[in-house]
Amino acid sequence: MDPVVQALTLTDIVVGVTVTALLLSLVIQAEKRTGTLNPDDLRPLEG
Amino acid sequence: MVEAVAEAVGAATTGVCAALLVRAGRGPLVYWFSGWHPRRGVALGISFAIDRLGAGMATMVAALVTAALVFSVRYFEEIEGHRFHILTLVFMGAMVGFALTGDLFNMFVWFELMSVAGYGLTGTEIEMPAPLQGALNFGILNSIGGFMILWGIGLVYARTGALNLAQIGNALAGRRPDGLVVMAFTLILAGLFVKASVVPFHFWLPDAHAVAPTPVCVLFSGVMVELALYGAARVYWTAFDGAMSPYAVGLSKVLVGFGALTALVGAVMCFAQQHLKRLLALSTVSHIGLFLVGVGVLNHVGLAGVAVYVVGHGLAKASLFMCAGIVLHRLGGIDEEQLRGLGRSIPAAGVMLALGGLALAEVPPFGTALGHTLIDDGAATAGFGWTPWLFGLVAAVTGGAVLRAAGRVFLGLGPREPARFASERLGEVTERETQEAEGRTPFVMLAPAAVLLAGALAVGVLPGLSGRVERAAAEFEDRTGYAERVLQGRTAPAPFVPVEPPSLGGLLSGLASGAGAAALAGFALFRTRLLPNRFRRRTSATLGRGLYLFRSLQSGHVGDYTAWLVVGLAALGGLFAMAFR
Repeated sequence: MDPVVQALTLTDIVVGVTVTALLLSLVIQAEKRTGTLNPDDLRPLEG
Repeated sequence: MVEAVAEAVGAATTGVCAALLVRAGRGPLVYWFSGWHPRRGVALGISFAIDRLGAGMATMVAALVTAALVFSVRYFEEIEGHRFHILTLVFMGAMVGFALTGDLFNMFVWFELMSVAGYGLTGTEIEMPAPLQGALNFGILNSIGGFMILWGIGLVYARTGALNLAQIGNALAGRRPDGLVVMAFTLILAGLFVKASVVPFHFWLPDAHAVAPTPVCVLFSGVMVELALYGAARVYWTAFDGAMSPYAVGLSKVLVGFGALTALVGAVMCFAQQHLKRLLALSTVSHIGLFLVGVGVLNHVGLAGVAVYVVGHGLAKASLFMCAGIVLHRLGGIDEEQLRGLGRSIPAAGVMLALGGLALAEVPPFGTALGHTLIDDGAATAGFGWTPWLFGLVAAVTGGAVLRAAGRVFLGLGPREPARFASERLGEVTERETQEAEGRTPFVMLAPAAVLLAGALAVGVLPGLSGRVERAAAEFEDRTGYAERVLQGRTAPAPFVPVEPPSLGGLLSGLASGAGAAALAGFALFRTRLLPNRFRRRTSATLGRGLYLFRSLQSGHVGDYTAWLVVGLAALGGLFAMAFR
């Protein structure tokens, strides 16, 4: 019975939620601004 | 009002971390959260284990954040809500926590918090498509890195049942590192290398720097990537050294190899850039390569050199980014070619840019020269006698790129560059980033740049610094002493370390690399007059085509970057497997 593993998992779920929420909000903004979600079509950063 | 509060918090944090640095001189400070002290060598609680190098990193973080906050007061057009200041303070907190912690999972939590704040800061100008994509590239790659670290931590925990770095070290010590330990080490290191922008995990860095506002770039290049390398060193020396020290020779070859590759790729790409912020970002990549070489030689002199170089480079790079920010603010552009000659109205920034370029070129008495000398001495002891050439070359190329940019922007020198190297596409972002300029550069923008540059100089001339840093590095590398202090609370006597003063030859070679940088810059600016026309046209056609192909690797496409990440992970893992056979 290891209490640490559940603490690790819960902590990581919280961390993962935060990161995922932020990345998803960026993705939604990208879709709104450029109308596409395909990385092949998003190319303003070449160079 | 908000700015004042944020700056006060930054200054207070700097003071606290400096106090920790002084206190840690008597031995590492250990604090157990909520009083969960270890019993019989088993640590359930989370600890902060603060030694001199950790406290030094934390002080550097807080100082640069304060400087960036001061710089940003007149820099931004308008900040909605107080988003920028909040994210910056969270970013600072996460980085300080990362530097001070003694627990592996806690390190991961700070890492993720640092990353999230970083993604938010990169996407400050979220209305434009380029920052959005830069933030996404940064976010996706670094999240994969974070996931790899978590995976490695899971493997370590499964093997050792411990998350405290000292306890993991004790559990792994003395046993031959088998496949699981090597995999865990690979994953943790690869994840940290993504954040540290080691080649081939580095592709996110130029994109993020090109689109992030200048105060954020100051922090990314000045402390964030160096902190990731610090994390790698910390994890190795506390947790894995007990098991891996018999294989140190092979391990150091792998690490030095990655470092050299990073340094060379970064330097070449840096010289081929016209976008000032990307140029500086790629010089950060190449310097990270140099730091990895210094860490990779796995001895205390090399590590001391890295510590000094990180401080000197961080201060100089921060100052350089602030100069680029002043250029952007006053002149409205960031492309070297577009700005040709316009810099004559802001001579102060030009002088600082040139001095910063000399600092990058490891010219004494900047701190970078001292750092480079110590790393070369450490590398020579470990059998890598060729590092002075690598350091000299990279210093000359990156310093030369900055000097060339300074010459073109502030003096109007140099021939017109072919359009394929231009960066106009990003012009739309940069105009909006900063507010309308008045006739004079604001004092709050010039002062931090000047103070930081002076700091980079001061690091190189402080008497007795190299001796103290070498002792601190030896303490950092002393796994058993660390474990005893953290788990038993006993301060072991400091390991006896013969302190070697930096060799004079190393310092003088800094003058050579400075001259090389000036020569390269001069060559780039005056090549139409120096070379015969036909020869120049033919070589520039082939060289230009080769450079263009190389630069097109930086495609902006997150799928390409991820593919390179996988290649890097496989290479790192494969090489480690061979080293630990």
